[in-house]
Order: sequence, then structure tokens, then C-alpha cells
Amino acid sequence: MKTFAYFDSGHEFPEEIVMAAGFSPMKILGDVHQGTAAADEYLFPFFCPFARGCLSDALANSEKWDGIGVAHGCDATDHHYDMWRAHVMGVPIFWVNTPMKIDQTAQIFYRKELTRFIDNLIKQYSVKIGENELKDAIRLSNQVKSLMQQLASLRAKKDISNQDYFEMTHKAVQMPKELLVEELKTTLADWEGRGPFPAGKTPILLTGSDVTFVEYMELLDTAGLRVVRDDLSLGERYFATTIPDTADPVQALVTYSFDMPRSATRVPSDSRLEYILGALKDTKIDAVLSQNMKFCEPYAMDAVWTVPALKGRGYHVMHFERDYTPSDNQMLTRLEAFKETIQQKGGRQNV
Amino acid sequence: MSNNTPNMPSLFSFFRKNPGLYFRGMKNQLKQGLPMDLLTLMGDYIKKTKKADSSPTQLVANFTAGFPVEFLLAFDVWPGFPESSACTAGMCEITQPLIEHAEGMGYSRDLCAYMKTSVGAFDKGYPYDFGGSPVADMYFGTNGVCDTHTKWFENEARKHGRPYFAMDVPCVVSGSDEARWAIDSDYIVAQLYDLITFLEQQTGKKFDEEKFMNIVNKSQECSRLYLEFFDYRKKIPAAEYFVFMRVFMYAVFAMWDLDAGIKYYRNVLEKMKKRYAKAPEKIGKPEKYRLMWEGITLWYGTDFYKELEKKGAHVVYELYTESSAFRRKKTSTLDETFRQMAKEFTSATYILEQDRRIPFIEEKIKDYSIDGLILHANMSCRPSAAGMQDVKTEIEKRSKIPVLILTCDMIDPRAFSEGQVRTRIDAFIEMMEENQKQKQDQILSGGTGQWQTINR
Repeated sequence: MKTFAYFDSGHEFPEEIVMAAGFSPMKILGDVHQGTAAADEYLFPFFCPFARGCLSDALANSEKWDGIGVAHGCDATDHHYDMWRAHVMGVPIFWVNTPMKIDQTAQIFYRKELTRFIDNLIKQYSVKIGENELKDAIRLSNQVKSLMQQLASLRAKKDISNQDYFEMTHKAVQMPKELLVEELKTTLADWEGRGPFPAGKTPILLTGSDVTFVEYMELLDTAGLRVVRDDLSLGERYFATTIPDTADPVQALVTYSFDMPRSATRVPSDSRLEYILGALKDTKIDAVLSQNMKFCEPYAMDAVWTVPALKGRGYHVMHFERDYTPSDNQMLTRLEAFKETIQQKGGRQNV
Repeated sequence: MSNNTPNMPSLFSFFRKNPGLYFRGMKNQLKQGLPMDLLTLMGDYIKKTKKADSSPTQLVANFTAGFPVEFLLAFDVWPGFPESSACTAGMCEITQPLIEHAEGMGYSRDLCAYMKTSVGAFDKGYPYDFGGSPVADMYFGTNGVCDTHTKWFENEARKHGRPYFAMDVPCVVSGSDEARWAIDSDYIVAQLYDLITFLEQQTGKKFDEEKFMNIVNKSQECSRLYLEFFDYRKKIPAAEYFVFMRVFMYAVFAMWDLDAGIKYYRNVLEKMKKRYAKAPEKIGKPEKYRLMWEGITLWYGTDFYKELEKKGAHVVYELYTESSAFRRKKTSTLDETFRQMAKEFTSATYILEQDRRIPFIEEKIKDYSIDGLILHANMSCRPSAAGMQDVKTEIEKRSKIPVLILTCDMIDPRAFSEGQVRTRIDAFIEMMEENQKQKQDQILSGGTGQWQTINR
């Protein structure tokens, strides 16, 4: 199957449209081990390292892809697009302008934008993207989301390591969906048979910038922190809601995009806090790890109000900036201190 | 509105508490050598903003750069512009402790220093003259320049429990076609109607189309006059340089009093016409090198620009100051006006996509007889810094002039390393010198070169 890669700082890119066009969507996540040197030729070091990692990835691998989509998320996606267009060679690049707002006016705009994207794909690749193709893609996508929901819900009950969860969220946005469904079913059977949530681990909710490399999740586990809820795009935002089964598939995608848990890039972002509070209440956990990647402005801006709002409600919260690096022992010390603080204040140790 | 900002002190009480800071700020303001009429104009905005803030009946709105102020004026809402106050603090060179204070409040070191200056100044109770801003009755933000604007004012509105309207300006990327433009334009126009509804709800007033059109016509005239001044900067020597222009743009940017702005710009133009007609040799300064600047100014960098001038290098054109003039085209109907505004929101010279940005710079290099281009890679404004490496490569190739990238910050002096900058400027000047010699040699040997450059 042909691969359609996409650069998306949140969960904005409409995967189902490229699936309907016969492609396998693959989210570009960069490679922390490869660094950002290739992109640094075109982007300053004070830009988001994840975004630079994605451009480096594209510069190295675009020949393997059949198309690239860039979805409007933050300032990085908007203003780096021109550099992608100028320097990533040999593959058509498409821009999908998801709106910042979530009102009726924005919905009308987004519907036009999705229709335009569909038309451009048809024109570029001579493919058919009709109602049936879109509905089939939505059905497959919902199957993935539903299985991911079941898997994610086991984190609070079973011994599911942060790495295991990370691996599935990673596959969810990178593997061909038909193969993924089978893998998710097998994994679900495996996870259901696992032992109970381990004693000594502290359940937390993880929020903020997306975690794109497994070493960070391992670090949390090493510190005794187990992520049982999150609101990340490489996480619950991707599967918390399913796409409505309505007669008009384009409108269904619009509705889905506006109903999913908010990211910090959208305005208003108040419902982002509501989702976090709901998750904490539902799962009966009281600790939140809030973090943002260095130079990630939307989440750094949101932390200014979300962290006090959570603390004000009595939750244990730690916020910090992290670097784009696979090993960070200084961070381990801080994470362990956070766990100790939760313990001293009587936070939950296990479920 | 009445006592919106209870903790904003008068300038006098601020002076009594912080005499050292006050004198330092005033001294740094004065060293810019701005003319009295311009200082008076700035002072007028500060005075009126304070008056509006303390009035029991006057509604006050805070807006971000790029927001269409005419709508506020049409509803008799006072336009408060916290960014301009932050810029003033920048000119006073007092921002560092304010920025550090904001960082102590949880704002990351990597976030916009305008925002941190404003937030810090408010929290420390600084008056509007020194970076403070009023608590507004409502807040307006747009992402036309950056996402930070919309997040910043959303945070402020949330903090003060006030209503907020965000305007979503779709980002124009290279390769955009007319079909995309039509979708973007419809979206912006629809939001302008939403904005009217929002203002009607907040003010309890009905939208008066005639009044609005009258205001738009005035802002168009204000922009026209402001831009006419740029013609005098093409002359050699130029009429004025960057340190003047960055304040000269206040009236057309903040639009608090369009009549006063029109009157001021008209007076300046008339004086300029007479001066050029009478004794052009007495205008400006000896210009060895004419520079273009891309990016926001270094507000704390008055000494830096003076140093440049001592070396005979003068900034005669900036995309940043030109972008402050919005209503460039005369319109007669509401729909036409809204369409025109939509076009302007996505075409300001500060935020051009690379397809338009590079040819635009190339054209201005010819228009203004530019010898060198400085690109300010602004750590506080990543959207404007994006693409600068490509601009440098292309302009050096196409225009055959040296291009210097300076990585600094518009208002955070911690990002300005004087020694490093000086070394790089010296090398840049040498390159311009060499470039001029080569051009002169070319002309003397019958080739082509820049006429203005060698006849200076």
C-alpha cells in the first residue's frame, strides 16, 4: 500500500481522507536519535526540536512516501510549511488548514477546506474519493479508535508499562490500519491477561506536548510513575471519541474534529482542562504530570493557567520543560521527587 | 470602565516609589532624539488610555497587533494596546526585571517577551507609561501574526473574567491558489460579522454601518499619508531612520484618534515636502550604507542603531513598520471593505509567505537603494524568524548584497550579546564596503551598478 505521510503538531490531519484515496496514512514523528541537523540548515535552533526532527525525517525519507500532508496546528506547522515545500523533494505536499476556533463559522470553513483537500487529492492522483470510500475509511478508523480505547482503559487496572502503551499509540498513527486492527486485537488479548496494577507504582495523568520517543516513557516508569490517563495527541486525543456514523461523511469528519479533546493550539482551550478533570475523576487518580517540550509555545502558554487550576482543586501537579533528548538523568531526580511528594501527601500508590 | 485597573498607579506615585527607575526610563526615552510632536502624540495615547480606564462609562478593550481596531471605534470602545506599552518599556530599557518577574509567575523563558513584559508590568503595578496595561472590559486577539497573540489574550481574559473574541486568520502558505484564497476570505468575512454580533452583545449598541464606513475611510486616509512618508525614505539621504519610524507608526497602528493621526501625518509630510524643496542637503545624515531590516526592532537597542549610524550605516526601510498600515485601498461598501480587510490580514508585509516575501524584499532593495539586509532572527517571534535562512540565500543570489542574520530578541536584552553583535556588524560593514568597491569598478569599466550607491 502506498504511504501518505503527514506532519501534524496535534491530531488535526484527516487521516480518513487519505485512507479513502487508497493510501496508508503515516504520522511523521522524527527520530530523536538522528537529531535535527538536516533541518537546522533551514530552521533556527530556537524552533521546536520536534518540528525540526520531523523536517529532518522528511528530508531523509520523503522518497519512500507518495505524498505529504501538513496540517495547521501551531505556528511551527504554519510557518515551516514553506521550508518543507522548498526543500523536501520528489513528493507532492498538501496544506490542510484546520481552524483555530470551534464555532459554527469555523465548521463551515473546515468543511470547505476538507472538500478542497479531497478535490486536490483526486486531481493529483486520479483516484476516486466518494461517499462509500470515505465511509469505509471512517469505519476502519473507528475500529482502531475503539480498540485503542479498550487498550488504554486497561492501564489503570493491569500491569501495562508506559513503554507498552507508547508503542501502541505510535503504531496507531504509523501502521497500515488493516494490519493495525489485527495487532490491536492480539495486544488486547495479551493485556487482558496481564497481572494487576503493580504495587509501588503511582498512577498519573500525563498532559502537555506530545511524547514522541519511548525513552521518555521509560524514564517515567523508572521513576515509579505509571501513566494511566493522558490527553496527548499521541494518546487519548487520537481515540477518545469516534467519528459519527452519519449520512454525510465529510460532515462527520468536521464534527469529529470539533468534538475531540482540545489541544492547547485551539481557542478556546478551556475544554482541555475539562477533559483532564473528567479523566482524573473517572479514573480516581490525583496526580498530574504536566510538561512541555522546549520551545513548545502552546503548551507552555496553557501551563500558566492549567497548572494553578489543577493545584487549586487539590491535585498533585508538577510542570516542567523537557529537552528533545533520549536520556535525561536530571529529569529522573525530579520525577522521583515528585513521586515522593505524592506519597508524603497521601496520594494513591496503586489501584 | 470605572476602576477597571485598581492597581495601576499614577505616574506620580510610581515616580515616588521608583525614582531611579523613572529617571532611567525617561533618560533612555529621551536619548532616542524623537521630535516633540511625536512624543506629544505618544503621550496623548497614554493619557487618554488612563482616562478611559478610570471613566465610569467608557468601555475599554485590549487588542493585539493586526486586529481591526475600526470595529472598536465604531462601537465607541476605547482601544487599549498592551503591546505598545510593552514597546515603550523596551525603549525605556526597563524590561528585563519585568520579564524575569513574569517568568517567576510560570511563563517560560521561550515565550514572547512582549507578553512577559506586559504581564510582569501589570503584576508589579507599573503604569501604562512603563509597560502596564489596563484591565479591559473585553479582549480581542488574532492569530494573523502569531498564535501567541490569541493565547496571550485568552489567558488575560480568563484571568480577569472578561469576554474574549478571537479572530482566526488562516495562514497563507506558499503555493496557495485563488480557490484557497476564496475559502479563506469567506471565513474571515464571516468572522467579521460574528465580531459585530459580539460587540453588539457587549456594548448593547446596534452596529452603525455609516459610522463604521466613515471610520474606515479615515483609517484609509491615515494609512495613505503614513505610507506616503515612505517615499521620502527612498530619497538619498532618507527622511528618517528606524528609531524614528518605530514610534512614527503608533498612530496608524493603534488608531486611537484617527483625526489626530491624519493631522499629524499631514503636518509631517508638509514639512518634509518643504524641507526637500528648500534644502535637501540638510536632511538626514551622511549615508555610506543604506540598510533594510526584516523583523521587529530591538526596542532596547537605541545605542546599537546609533553605533550603526556612526559607521555610516542607516536603516532606511523595514517591512515591520510598513506592515502597520492596513487600510490601503479605498472602499465604498461594507462587503467590499470586509473583503479588503480579509486580504490585508493575510498580506501584511510582516507575515508574508516565502513566495511573496522574497520577491517583495528584492523589489524594496531596488526601490530604496539598499546596500545590505539585516534579518532579525527574533527569539520572541518565531513566525517571523522562520524562513530567514532561505531569504538570506536567495537575496544574496538575486540582489548581490550582503545579508546578515542577527539572533536577538525584540525586547529581552538578555538575548543581545553586544560583543558578538559588534564583531558581526563590523564584518558586515566590510562586506558592504567591498561590495561597493566592486560595483564602482564595474561601472568604471562600463558595466552596470547601482547609480545611487556610487554617487552618494
